Amino acid sequence: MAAKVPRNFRLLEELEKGEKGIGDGSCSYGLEDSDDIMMSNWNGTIIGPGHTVHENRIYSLKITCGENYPDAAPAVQFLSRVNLPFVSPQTGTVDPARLPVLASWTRASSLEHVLVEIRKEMASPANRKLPQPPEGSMF
Amino acid sequence: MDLAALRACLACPVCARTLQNPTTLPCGHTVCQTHQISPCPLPHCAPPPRPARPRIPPASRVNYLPPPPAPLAPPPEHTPKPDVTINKVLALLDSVLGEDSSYDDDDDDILRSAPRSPTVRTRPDSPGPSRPRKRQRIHDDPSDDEGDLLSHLMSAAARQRDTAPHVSLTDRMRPLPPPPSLEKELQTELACEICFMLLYSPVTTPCQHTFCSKCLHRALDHSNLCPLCRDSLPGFSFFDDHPGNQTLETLLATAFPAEYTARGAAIAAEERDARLDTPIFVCMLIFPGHPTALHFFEPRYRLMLRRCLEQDVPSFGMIMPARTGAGAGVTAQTADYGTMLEVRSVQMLADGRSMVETWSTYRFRILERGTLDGYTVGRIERIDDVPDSPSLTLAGPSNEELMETCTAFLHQLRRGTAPWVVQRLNNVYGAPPADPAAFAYWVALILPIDEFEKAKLLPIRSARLRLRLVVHWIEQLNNNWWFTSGCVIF
Amino acid sequence: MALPKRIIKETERLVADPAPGITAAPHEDNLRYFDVTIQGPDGSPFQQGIFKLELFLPEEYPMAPPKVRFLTKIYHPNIDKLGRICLDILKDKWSPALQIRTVLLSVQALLSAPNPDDPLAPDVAKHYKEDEKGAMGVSREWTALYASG
Repeated sequence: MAAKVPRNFRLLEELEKGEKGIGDGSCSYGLEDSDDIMMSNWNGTIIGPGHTVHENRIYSLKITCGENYPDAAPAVQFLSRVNLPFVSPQTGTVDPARLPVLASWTRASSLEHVLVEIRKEMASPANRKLPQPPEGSMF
Repeated sequence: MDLAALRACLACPVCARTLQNPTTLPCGHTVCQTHQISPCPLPHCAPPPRPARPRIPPASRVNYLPPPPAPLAPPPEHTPKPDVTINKVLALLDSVLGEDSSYDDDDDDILRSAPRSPTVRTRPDSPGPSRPRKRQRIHDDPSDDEGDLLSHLMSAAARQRDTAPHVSLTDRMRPLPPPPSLEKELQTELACEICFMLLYSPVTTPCQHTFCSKCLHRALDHSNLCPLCRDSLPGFSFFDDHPGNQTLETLLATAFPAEYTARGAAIAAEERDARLDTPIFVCMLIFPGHPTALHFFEPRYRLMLRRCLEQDVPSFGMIMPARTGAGAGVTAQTADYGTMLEVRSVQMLADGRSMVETWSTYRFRILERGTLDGYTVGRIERIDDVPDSPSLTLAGPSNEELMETCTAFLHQLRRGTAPWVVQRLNNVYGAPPADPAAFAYWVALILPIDEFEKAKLLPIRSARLRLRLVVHWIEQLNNNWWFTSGCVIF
Repeated sequence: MALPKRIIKETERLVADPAPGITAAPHEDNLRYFDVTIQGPDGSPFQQGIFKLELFLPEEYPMAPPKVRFLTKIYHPNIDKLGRICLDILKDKWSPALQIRTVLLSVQALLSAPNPDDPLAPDVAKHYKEDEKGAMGVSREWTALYASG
């Protein structure tokens, strides 16, 4: 049995990784409130993938890490309006059952994975051409 | 516990009297500082060096090249430091035996605020070394400063020793055996400050601090400073085959024979357990049948390598890191497949890093992952090819034709504007193998495509299917304008 | 793999013989994860405060340092808004001969001796450098506000 990193130290690691910048910069995240000692509420940003209807759009998301994170998946909600099959058209809430990274969540998954996987979904053949609400509109 | 026997362990091998201001030399002998200490004053001092760590089994075929010889031990200072552990043990025995002690613990004196209590025998029913008092003192002690490890630990040691209760001198003539607290206190003094267990195979640094040899090696993987006083240590190679502290070894075997044996057995069992799982090096994509040279520098992999080398066939698994952003269980499948590397030779460097030559043998799938001391370990299942079914063999071009397609493509590359590419790769990876099972790996190494794509070859159990996948990649490359136009960009 | 013996020994000692003004108790479901309290040292602006912290022993402990964080808000130049602590022995000055007890004593000592020259909270450090008296006043207020138990 390997050492099990507790929630808060795991979130600190993710915060530090996010502050350094992840991947190619097409996704990013950070604390909503920089003195939220419980590190529950996060902002995420996804830059729409190229060669899709999302190209050049910037999407904002709200991610909430509950008490049981990372044993339990975070709750994810789009703040920017978007048309995707796994996003509620009314509230922007992501249906965890319909997004594989949330449905098959493990401790090895992370906030970065969530954003990167959502961006991949945007570029998937089924979703890349879906009609979208006006750019910049919010839920 | 026989006090006389303990006492005998602490005799100076030169003057045969009880050690006074003992210092432990690089050869593992402990002598009074009043004797000549460089070189060792003992006639015929030639302690058998410990077998170079790691202990390589006789059956192993690995070519282990120890680090270049360490520079000679730093010349001893004008007044060498006393061996901290032995000094503490002497003081403890003194307080029990009631002998006058004249040991000069210069390092402790710096911090000792109270004059030393008269050394008298501890009454068996008197309270042992007063823990509550120690607690009190820690709080008041201004030397408990943040970074000042040395003063903290030394003052803690001073406090521990400064606790001989004031007992009437009439108690002096009580007969042995020793008070029950002695055994406990001795055990405390003989505990390693890294693992907190009874010292095992104790090694004493030039700054006269003693650790289990395994603990010291792990500490050296991380830092070249003494864990206790932060003096810089002579480096990994100095300790690679360093003789143990002979006085302490004898003392441990005399005072705690059963415990010492049990410690040895427990360490052996731990190491055996550590070898039950396959160690995994997360680094790069490697196909079977190729040589790979690796540089081991990370502390966790140094430990992994030492453990590997104690096996008859030293080997470890190699996998690629999961692609950034790949959700575990979603797209990280390729990261579950890897290749075993057999260690062929190890050149140790003086600072504990090493250059390792390996040969890749078989493929595996990770069934279960864990972590051991910072590195990945796994339960693995070997992957071997299965014979192709007749329907698969008959469909499409033959293996020979597929291999011919690959060869033709590589010829085309060679004729292209960057012939050096193939030339270089030919040099690195050798001539094309004739065996269709190995051929696809060889071609894949040369193809300018994504490593994660190449990794798809690992799970395939059919030589023919691997060839077809490689030919598929070649067809895709041929369909790219920049390739057919002969412009090879890497 | 079982919990290393060293961690078991340290835990036993912490419970049997706690350092003054410091408590540390492991979580039942994670013996590498400790709930910690530290009393503000007398004579410091944190006097009479009880500060909650959390401490975690990573897989490589004791070769790697423990991770420690304040959970109670504190106005201190070397402790940031998320409770992260700037202390050399928790980073490059770590030694495997240090232990949970010595680490927590060092954190307690840091409360008595803030070091605004090596700040983690730049605004607090600036305050401490320019107006130490005023800054200590804020530290006292925060102690009363957040750390009064």
